[in-house]
Amino acid sequence: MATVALYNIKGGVGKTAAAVNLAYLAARDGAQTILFDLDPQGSAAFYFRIKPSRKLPGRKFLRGGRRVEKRIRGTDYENLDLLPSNLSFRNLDTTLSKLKASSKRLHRILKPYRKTYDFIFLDCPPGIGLVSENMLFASDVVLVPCIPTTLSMRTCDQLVRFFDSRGRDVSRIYPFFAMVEKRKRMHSEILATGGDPEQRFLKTRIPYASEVEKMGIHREPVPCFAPGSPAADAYQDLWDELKGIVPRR
Amino acid sequence: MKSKVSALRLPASVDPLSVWGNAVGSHTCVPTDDTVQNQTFLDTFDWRLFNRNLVLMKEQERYLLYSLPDRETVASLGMPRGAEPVFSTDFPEGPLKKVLHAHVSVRALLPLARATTRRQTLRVRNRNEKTVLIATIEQARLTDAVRDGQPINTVVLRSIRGYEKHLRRLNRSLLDAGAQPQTEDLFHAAMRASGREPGGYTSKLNIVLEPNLTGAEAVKRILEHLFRTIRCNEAGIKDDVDTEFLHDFRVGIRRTRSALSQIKSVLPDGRVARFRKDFSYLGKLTNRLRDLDVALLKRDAYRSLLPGYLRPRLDPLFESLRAERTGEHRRLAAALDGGRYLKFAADWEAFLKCPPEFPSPSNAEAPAVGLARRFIGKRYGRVIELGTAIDAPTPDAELHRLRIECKKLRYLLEFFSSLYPTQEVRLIVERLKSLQDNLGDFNDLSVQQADLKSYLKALPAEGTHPETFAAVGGLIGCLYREQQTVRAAYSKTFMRFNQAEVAATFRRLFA
Repeated sequence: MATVALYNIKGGVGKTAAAVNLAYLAARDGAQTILFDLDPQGSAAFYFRIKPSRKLPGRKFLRGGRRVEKRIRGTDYENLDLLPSNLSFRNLDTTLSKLKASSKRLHRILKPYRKTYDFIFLDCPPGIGLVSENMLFASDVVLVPCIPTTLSMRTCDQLVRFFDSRGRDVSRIYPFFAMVEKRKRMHSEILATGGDPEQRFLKTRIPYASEVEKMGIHREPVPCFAPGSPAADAYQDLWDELKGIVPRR
Repeated sequence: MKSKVSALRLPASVDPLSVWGNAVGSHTCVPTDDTVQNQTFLDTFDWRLFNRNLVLMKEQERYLLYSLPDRETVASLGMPRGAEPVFSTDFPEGPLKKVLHAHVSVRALLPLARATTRRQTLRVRNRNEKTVLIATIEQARLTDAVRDGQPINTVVLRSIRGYEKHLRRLNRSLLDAGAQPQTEDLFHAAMRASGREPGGYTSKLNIVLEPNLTGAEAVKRILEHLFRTIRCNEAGIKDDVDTEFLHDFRVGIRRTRSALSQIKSVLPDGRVARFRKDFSYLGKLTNRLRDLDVALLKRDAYRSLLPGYLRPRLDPLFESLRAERTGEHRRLAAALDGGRYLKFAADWEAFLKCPPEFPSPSNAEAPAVGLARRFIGKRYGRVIELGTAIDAPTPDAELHRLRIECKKLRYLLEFFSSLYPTQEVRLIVERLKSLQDNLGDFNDLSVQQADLKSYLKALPAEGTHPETFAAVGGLIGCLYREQQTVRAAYSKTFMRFNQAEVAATFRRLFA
């Protein structure tokens, strides 16, 4: 039904946490869901207690097909599968540059999964390059977590401009505020502006919360070990908002 | 991609949890669920679901329709507490109702067997505490079992995608510990325990005759078969479970009457004469109730023929039919418990069991094959003769006569079908059936119009809303039009029956 990417040029902005929790909530809603962990750090897989894939180096991943399918793992949750990443995914940009149709590869790999899954989530590595271009081409919605700081807002602006300059459709890029700390003055000042109106910031704000960090200890999505917590509620709101913007079939 | 599932049956003598404990070895197991639930298996009297490899199970308040042997869920639905749907129409709109209605039609869903199952779900985890397999240990007890049911212990292993090796390993250890691959569903065990044979009843004739039987032997076997059908529908008629008990009962009677009158000089005429009267009495006894059933089943179809504002005007009609039906049913139920019926049933059974009498009638010792050929050949000739003579100006009465002849031919073919090659008989019966359907529809539409006409006549001119007249009149008009369409289709249907291929088959088999 929809491919949703979690992406930012910057690292450590809460991409993986959002991808894991959104994918979990989608599956809990009954949607057949798969999360592709494209980040060589393999944090998404770690959160689901799934070991990184040793047998799927980047160059094989980019060839798609059965090799990829065989590496998909079921999570502990109904309707939710995951493709663990591989350390060699760090070289995906270079590997891609040697291939033909280098910005449509990911789209091609995902094609069979669009039929079997209702939601595909992509946990993308930070940076800007061919992987990000592939991600943009393959996604229906790109969610960009943004810390409400001047620098972060600038990055957000940068990435939209970059894709725009490459002639890409930037209308599917939706930033949202993450790691929000209300007691910080800069955060509340930027929040008060609601973000750049041209960039259509989502309403949901993900708080900077210890529960999100504790995902690494519990190795579970937040709603599983801290239901009803502000962070769990925020992810639920984000999921509800996302359902409203995904293109309907 | 679906997860792999392996279901294993454990011997009743061993404790399933200890077997499981040994098999699972060093893996950690986390219990996640432990429930006790009641299951009821439902099907129609004539096994309409089972015959299509379907099982309808009610578990607590949830209805689950699944296919066998793969146990794939076809549809499921939770019902409010205390809801006891009997007919497919009692279910709320949705996939379950749709599938059920397509298969069971007007038949009631009867609870046939019950079980109580304790289900323990365990998650098997690896060193990372990642779930690699989900196991369910089921301990089923068959309640209200005729035979003392031992518990049925099953372990169902469900793999997690990408971790299939754990399923293979555990499967092997369980097999080593004495488990057997599950070969039958709980449905079968439950049916056995409650003394039922799935598929055991069918309204179709499946009489098996051997070619060397004599006429008397064959006819008695046919009549015994029909009598069994008649008797096993009695209870359902008396309890008013659904309309088809009476229908099958009546078909049994009609077939018996047809056999007695068509297969001549096989049974001693003097002794059979009395039973002919009895069967004719039973036919008349049940006529009105069947007519009322058919009319009431037509309710939705009738309503749909009228515009919305006229529909409520039909309500009094159906109310009066329903009221009459209540009385008719009471009368019939009493008659089935009454002296005449019981005496007849006992005598008929005794007659069918008694050895042949001497001197035997002329056809009694003749081989059944020869008799079948003669009678069927003759009847076929009659159908062709009558059918060919019918064209547009032919009066309706002739179609009625042809319908009766076709029915007789059909019964004969079905009585003796086991003596002939299945494929060839199937072709003949299939063509004959479409002809019969056409003639049957034509006749039904006549009867319905006549019924409505007499209802219309009986309506008081004063005090009846004019829309009531309009509704009944409109209905008669629609039925008339439909009847014209059916009649127009006659010649084509008859031509299909009278094709060279069918005629040649008849000649080969029966001439």
